[in-house]
Amino acid sequence: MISVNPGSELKEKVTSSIFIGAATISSLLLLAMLLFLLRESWPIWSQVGITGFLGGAVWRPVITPPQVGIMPMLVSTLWVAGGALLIAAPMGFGCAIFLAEFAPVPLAALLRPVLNMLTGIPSVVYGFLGAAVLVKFFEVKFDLGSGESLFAASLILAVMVLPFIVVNSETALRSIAPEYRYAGIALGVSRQYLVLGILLPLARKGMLGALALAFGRAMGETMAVLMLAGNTLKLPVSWFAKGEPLPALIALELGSATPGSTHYQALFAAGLVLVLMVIAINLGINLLLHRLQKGVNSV
Amino acid sequence: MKQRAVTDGLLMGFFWLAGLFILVVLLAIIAYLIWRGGPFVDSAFIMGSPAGLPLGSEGGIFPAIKGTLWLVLLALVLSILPGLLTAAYLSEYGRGGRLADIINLLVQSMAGVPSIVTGLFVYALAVVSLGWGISLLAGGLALAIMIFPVIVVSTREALLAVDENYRLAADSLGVSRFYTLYRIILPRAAAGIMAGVLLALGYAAGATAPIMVTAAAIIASSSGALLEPVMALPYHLYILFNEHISMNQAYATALVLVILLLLINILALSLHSLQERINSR
Amino acid sequence: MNAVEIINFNTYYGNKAVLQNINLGFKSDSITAIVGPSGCGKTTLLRSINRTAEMERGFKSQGDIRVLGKSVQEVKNVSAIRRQVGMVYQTPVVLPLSIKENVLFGPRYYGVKNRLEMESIVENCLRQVALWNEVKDRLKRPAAQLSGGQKQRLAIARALAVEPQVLLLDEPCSSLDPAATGLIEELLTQLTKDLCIIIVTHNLFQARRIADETVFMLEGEVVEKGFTNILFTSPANEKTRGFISGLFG
Repeated sequence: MISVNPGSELKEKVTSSIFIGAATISSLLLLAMLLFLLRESWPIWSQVGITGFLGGAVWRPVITPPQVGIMPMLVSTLWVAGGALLIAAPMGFGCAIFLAEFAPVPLAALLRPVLNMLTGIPSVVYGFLGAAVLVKFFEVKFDLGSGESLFAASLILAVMVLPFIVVNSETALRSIAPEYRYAGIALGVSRQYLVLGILLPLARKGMLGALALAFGRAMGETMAVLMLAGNTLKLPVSWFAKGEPLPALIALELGSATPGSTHYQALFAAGLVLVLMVIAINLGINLLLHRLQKGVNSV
Repeated sequence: MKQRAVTDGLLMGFFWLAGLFILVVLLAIIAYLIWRGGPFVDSAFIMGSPAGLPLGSEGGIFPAIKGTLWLVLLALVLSILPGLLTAAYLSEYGRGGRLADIINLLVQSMAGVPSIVTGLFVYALAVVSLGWGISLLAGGLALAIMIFPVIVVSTREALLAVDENYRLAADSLGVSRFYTLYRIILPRAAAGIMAGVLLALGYAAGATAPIMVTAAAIIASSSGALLEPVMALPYHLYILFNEHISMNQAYATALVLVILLLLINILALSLHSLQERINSR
Repeated sequence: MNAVEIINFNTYYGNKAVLQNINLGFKSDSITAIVGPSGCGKTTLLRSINRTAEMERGFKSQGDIRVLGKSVQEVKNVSAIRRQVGMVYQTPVVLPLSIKENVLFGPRYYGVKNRLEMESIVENCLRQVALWNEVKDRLKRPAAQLSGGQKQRLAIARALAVEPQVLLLDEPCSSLDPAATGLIEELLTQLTKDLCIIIVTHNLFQARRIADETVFMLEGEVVEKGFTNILFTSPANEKTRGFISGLFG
């Protein structure tokens, strides 16, 4: 009654080749990007060198001879992102603990979409509100000429990365085997003590992973820092100084850099440094979590 | 003992505070934007073009809305097929294999690439080398590259969430993986996949950095010409504020942008819940 | 002729040996039950016949399995094997389609397009599993609405729709009530006319009720095989006797 479908084996081979091909080519995009950045910035690496570029404190790429050192921008990037984590981590962990352990179910059900919607607000709006409201507030309250600073940027970045910290940390807490909770409750300790003493240490790796991912995000964010960090090329000396993180540098100067010039190449070098830093953090965290996976949660 | 009770109380208070903080932030942002921008959003604003002196201080943002729609459409068209194919490969064809692990890693790493770097790449590739100039096409390409990993990750998750038993039963009848994908898996995961794609599109609509360097212009007609620059909502907001053109228009633009994105997010969330209900049946 | 021959068959999962030195023959037109305690390898054996066992990571096999004289290991197109060897799982699995489309899932793939032919396949297969009268008025309704026993019968109908020569069942009644079990046992005895049926079961009573021959397995090896009556009343092997009298397993 039913005939064997003679062409089907070939068809299946062709379709699976299409899938494999598409997947392989698309994922090679990342490598293509990195290689491209490397190629465009090669003269910088060969002439100025890695330490020269990363450690150079002067950025004047259009004079002759051009001086390209991104150390102040590098410092700004790390400072603004680190600062954001400092502010966001306690709140983020606290909120994650609240959602995982203490929140009444209807409230938790409300808060999760809220987190989702916070991530949906574009960075330019965060930057705009930060600049229009926060910076103005600093200027008025502290009588400053300009309220822009790394701190203002850190503050807004903290709000931006907060939902990511919360979601990832909550997942880490929820994935702890329930036996640990039962054991703690059986001992008669308060739930707060249970959380701090037992659950947090167990969820440590996941939560650190959440922080690392947030750090990567904060480092790569452009609009918020563009509108809040002050955009000076000087090395920032305090959290309240102005600075220009790498993303802002690239965004501001790319349009005016002549393709092929040292300025142009230096911007690509900066981009390469930025993306490698973020990828290194993400990969590092992945490896760390992978290796440590065997310990904690397999009860 | 009393010490313990006090600490416990403080901690509980902190946790509640942290939880409610999130809610307060969202409500504050929305409320403030409505308060400051609401009065200036009317049909003339939405349908009109920038006017006044300096340009943009009066009039509307219609070209920016059009531009954003074009950019998002282009990003969708360029990224949807590679995204779905890659996700289907990871979940159906290559699952567990070495190649799939590598591809998975590459895609997840791509998700972490800062959007400005994507813009940088497309700038050199398309704007300069290919000679497209600052154009809708370049912007669409940059956004497509930016959202590709997002689509792959969410689609793969949606596909993997489909009950494994269906695949087992289908396999034992000797049908091809593609047939099972097309008749069973894809329809079953459709709502979840759409949710993921919607979120990716929202992400593209709000992105400023990549289009700033590849597509956006301060004033343009946004007629859909591929090699012309376009206006876009997020960039327009940035310009209105940065060039001190008009705070009122800026707030209004921000409000429109946020409402658009919140609607997209809400729609995506409902599709996601729908998918969860389907999966548990 | 034996519909299924297993020759010097060994399987490994990683470094662990799962099946050792299996030599068995299964006749067409008969029901053979495979019994044994949990973990003795019954399911692995079944899945090796339709080559779904190899989908697990780390699976290796040695030796040969022949279905209707042709080696399943050597054949290039695995899908052809799976057509000839139908499989029904422990948990009743219905595809998220209508009842009618469940049955037609395989035939559509294999090229059946004619409407009349499709309708006759659906009626034929559903009659064979005694479902036709129960569902004939709601063929387009989702199969998910059926009861457990009905789902399992639908799963059998679905397997029958691609005209297999062998039907494998892995504890098909373990999640069903006695009434549903009875229905399935009855239809299996009727299907034997055209099929070689191999059923893994942990229910010794079931084996006694429906199987012509029974195989007793223990720790990956075949201990004894014989006509069901004889195996249960006067088994040759000490271990078989022990298992049957409930000493272990």
